Amino acid sequence: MASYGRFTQAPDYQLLVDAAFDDTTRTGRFRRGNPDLGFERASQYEFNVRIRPREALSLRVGVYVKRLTGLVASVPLGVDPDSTIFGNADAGSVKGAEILLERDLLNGVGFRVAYTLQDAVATATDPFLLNRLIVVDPLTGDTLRRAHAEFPLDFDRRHAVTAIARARAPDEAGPRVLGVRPLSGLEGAVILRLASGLPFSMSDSTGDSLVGLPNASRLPWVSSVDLLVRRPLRLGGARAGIYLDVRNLLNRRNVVAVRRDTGLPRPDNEAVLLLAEGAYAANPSPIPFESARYRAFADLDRDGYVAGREELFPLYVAAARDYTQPVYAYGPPRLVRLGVELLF
Amino acid sequence: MAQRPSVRRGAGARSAALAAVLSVSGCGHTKPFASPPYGSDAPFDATPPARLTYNLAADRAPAWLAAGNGLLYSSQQTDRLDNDVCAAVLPPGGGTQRELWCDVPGGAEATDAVETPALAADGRLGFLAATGSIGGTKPLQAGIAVAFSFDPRDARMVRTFPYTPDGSTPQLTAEHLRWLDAARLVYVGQNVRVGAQCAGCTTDTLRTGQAVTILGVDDAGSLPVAVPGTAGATGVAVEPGGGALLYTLAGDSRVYRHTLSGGTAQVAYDFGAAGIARDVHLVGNRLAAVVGGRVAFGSDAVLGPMQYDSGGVVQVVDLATGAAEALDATSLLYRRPAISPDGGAIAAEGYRVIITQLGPGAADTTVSRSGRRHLRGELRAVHPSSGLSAPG
Repeated sequence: MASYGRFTQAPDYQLLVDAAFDDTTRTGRFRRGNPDLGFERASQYEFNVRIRPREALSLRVGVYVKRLTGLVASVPLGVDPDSTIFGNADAGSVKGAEILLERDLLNGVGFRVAYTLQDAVATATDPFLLNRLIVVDPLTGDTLRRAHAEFPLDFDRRHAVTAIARARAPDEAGPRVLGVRPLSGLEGAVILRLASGLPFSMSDSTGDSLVGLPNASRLPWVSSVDLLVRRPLRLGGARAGIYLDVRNLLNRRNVVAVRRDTGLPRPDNEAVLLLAEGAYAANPSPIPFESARYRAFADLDRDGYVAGREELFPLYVAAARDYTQPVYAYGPPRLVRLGVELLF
Repeated sequence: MAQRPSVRRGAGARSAALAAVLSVSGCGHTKPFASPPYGSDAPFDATPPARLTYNLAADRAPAWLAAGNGLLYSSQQTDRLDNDVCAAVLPPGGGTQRELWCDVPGGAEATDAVETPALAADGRLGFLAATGSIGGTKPLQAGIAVAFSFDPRDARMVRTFPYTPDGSTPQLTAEHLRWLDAARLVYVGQNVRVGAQCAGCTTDTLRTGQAVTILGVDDAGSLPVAVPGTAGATGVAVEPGGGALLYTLAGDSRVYRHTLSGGTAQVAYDFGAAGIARDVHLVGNRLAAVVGGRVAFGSDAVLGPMQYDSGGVVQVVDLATGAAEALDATSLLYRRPAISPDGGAIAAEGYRVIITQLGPGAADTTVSRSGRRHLRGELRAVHPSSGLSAPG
């Protein structure tokens, strides 16, 4: 089966007005909004082959190419980095292949395995990034725009595997207890997800300059196993069920975000000390006994003050470690739900 | 033999079953993060006179909460860019600050001060509120403010400085605020000069009492009234019931009593040779005053007659019997004592006396300072040896 489609979508409305980002006290962190932004467009070409080698078993193989145009990017109006305006200046392409193997629920057992290989690139990875680097020729003074280069888009996940196994016990399954068959109609499903990491850009320790190309680094692979067990019930004339829903059954700690300076969820020791040094330099004042910030364990000489580098700095280091806890770096932990559902 | 705890049979099994159900159903909750209690309700060193504060800048003007369960005072902060003088609350025996309110009344973009707080029996707070530009040497605006509780953040300004009461001289600031009754405050209205005594000298703030002044707080903007005969006042206290005032005058060892209804003044107590009396405070019949010490009565080129005060000895007098007790402490001078509501303790600003040996047989005495403008006061708690006698 071959298909072709054209799609349009409205741009993010916040880009119609002026915007600032990152450290706004620095230059180049301001974008002029553009109320004349147009729609972002996509043209998609898709080709699929589907075969059924055995009864209840199907295999689908497909490839696709999606051409993206009019994506919003930041367009320089001159050499002043703060004169940049949003415009439909970005273009990109998404290419990929999909393999889907599926067995229908037959004799109480079914499964589905899907694999996607994808490559998604564009000339800018973010509306706030300049669509092209500009340089000023040192000889002529002309503003030069270099040739287009493409970088991975934020959603460029190279590999993705999803496997789902389903099973359902027959209505007559299991022994009868007090007139009820507990295993009758019992349903279960296990879902395995495995995916390569999304791209991100490394920056220097100050966070205001990219190290390397945009989105040149990758997060580690993520995976999860989910489990759903459900026992249908009949309550009078209504259908109902009891279910046990376990997400991330193995309680795997997936890394979903990292610090851009280290590429790791946590800062290294040097970064913690740098943060603590800055805080200590900003406020080296002694902490008197009556202050709520006084800590007896830190008052090494027991003089009623937490004072001096020897006593204060360990507190600042501890605070820096707390402050840099990777709160948003990991995906959700194991989640167990036991519930009752009523179907109307 | 240890007693067996009373447990109903079967309760344990049912609890275990319930716990199992809850653990499966996800209804169990882990304890939220908690931090160990770091605070203290006791002073760092309880050796009398107990030192209550260790601030490197000045702590001033302690005032007891009406129930005696805390001390409200002014605390200058060294770690703030705006140099605020904040309002702080301590446990009655010292320890960790329960509250610290800064940026009152001006906000983070100004140097603010909450000074000379006075707490009413109904819990209201009167204080001197001042605000000015950061780095300035004197406030751009100052006035008397009143709050509905001891939290100064909800205060309203009831009188701004400067003004000139009828029959008195201009007043630019105030000190020794007390509640006369539910509707009136009484204080020592003062003139003030900020400057150096000589070229190259440290900038200092000189205050001189103009008059004991009464202010109605219900009518915003009402003109305060000066109490006659109180020029050069250095302290004021209110008798129980508000019918009379006790006050001290510059260069004078006597405490005067002024009856508001009769308008007459008489000597309530004379410290005589003990020295100049000031900073009076009264609870019941117990009068506390600072007497003698490092104090001098002289003249300022701008302000005229004035009293230079670096602190003295706290004297406690039972006005009913006339018995007096000096709460002397080695190497400490006191200012602005405040008697607790039960009369059992006095909180005061303590100033360390520094004796510098100049040579054989010659020494000079100074009082500790911090910063350019403020004497460094640390709060101290002292305890009179006898209990409070019944109000006369």
